[in-house]
Amino acid sequence: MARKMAQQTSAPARKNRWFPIALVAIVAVGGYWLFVGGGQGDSGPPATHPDLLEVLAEAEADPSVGVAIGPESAPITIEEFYDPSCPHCATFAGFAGKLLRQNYVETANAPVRWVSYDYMVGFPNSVAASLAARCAGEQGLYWPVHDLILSRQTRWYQLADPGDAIAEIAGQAGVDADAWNACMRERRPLQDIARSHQFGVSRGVNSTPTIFVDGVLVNLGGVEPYAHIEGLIQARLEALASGSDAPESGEGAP
Amino acid sequence: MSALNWRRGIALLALAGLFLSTYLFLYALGYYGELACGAGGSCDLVQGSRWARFLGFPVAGWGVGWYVAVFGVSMLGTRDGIGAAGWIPRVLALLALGGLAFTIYLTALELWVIHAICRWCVGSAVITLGIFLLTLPEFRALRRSG
Repeated sequence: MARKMAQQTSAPARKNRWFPIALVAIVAVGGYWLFVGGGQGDSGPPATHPDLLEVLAEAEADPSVGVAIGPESAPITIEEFYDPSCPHCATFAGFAGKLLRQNYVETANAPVRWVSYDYMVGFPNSVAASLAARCAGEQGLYWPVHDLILSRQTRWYQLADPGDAIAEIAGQAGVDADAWNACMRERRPLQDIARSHQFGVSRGVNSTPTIFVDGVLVNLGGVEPYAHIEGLIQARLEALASGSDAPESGEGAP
Repeated sequence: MSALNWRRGIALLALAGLFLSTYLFLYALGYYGELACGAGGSCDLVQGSRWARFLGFPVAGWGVGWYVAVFGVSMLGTRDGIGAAGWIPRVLALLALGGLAFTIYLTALELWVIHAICRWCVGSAVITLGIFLLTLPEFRALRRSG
């Protein structure tokens, strides 16, 4: 074999025209593929978790299942569709989301009302995590658990059974364990999660996080989220102050 | 298929793998992708996991290096003169074996630890397996030459 290979590699005349053509073809296709970014955005409809599929077919889109923070009278509403297992949601929540809420939602005369919706991209532990936050919400602790679930995402999102890790997070947020465990056992908020997901579907959401500012989709591609959304809030406030309060058209598909 | 064509096949697969791993490497460095988890969420999960880095460097970056090495050696193996050098089958066999072992390790992590399958990683695994299979004649050559 080695001798054969040596003979072949030293043969002067080679009928190997197919080889350079194949090389060039791969370079051309691969180069184009890299140039367009690997076909991103051509991903089709998102998958959903089996737990959710049980109730998803019957669930109807319902905007009222969003969990809100900030004054009802706030002139601007930001809607956030998130999946608790999504690494980008954790990144967004840890900086942009946190700062936006601090500066525009959790202040005196806050100009923004923030509404959180569950949208299940298809990660295996997301339903459990969303249930955890909503069950904590029954005790008025939705936001502490929501924030901890995201900031400590790496502690639970890859576990085969995230139950204990999620329960620990809920405990750290201060939930009453008995009431919270009962809610989790009965999966009481599951219908709300399904309705929330369907609401996202009805709005054209197909990835997370997806943000709407006064109903206008925010394109988070290639921007610094905090500065970008802050700019949109400021522009919206100026528009409201000047009386031209019709929101602009969407920035792009989610 | 002639022995020379096995090496050409390896070079072509390595070149395809090089583009794939370059894409994943650029993604890991933040040059691709937007702030969104979509249907490709499993890739986000895998790429965002702590196993996405090996010895402090993105796994995809190691992949780029590996594919460059395989491509380079297999291309040399198709050249007159140097293609007959005894070290080429040894290095190709070593690279193929190491690549396959690392691919099995990464795929096992995806299946049983991360519980998510990234389609691009699967693509790279298939290419690596193909390279290993095309390298089998080099193993035979080594065994015969003692």
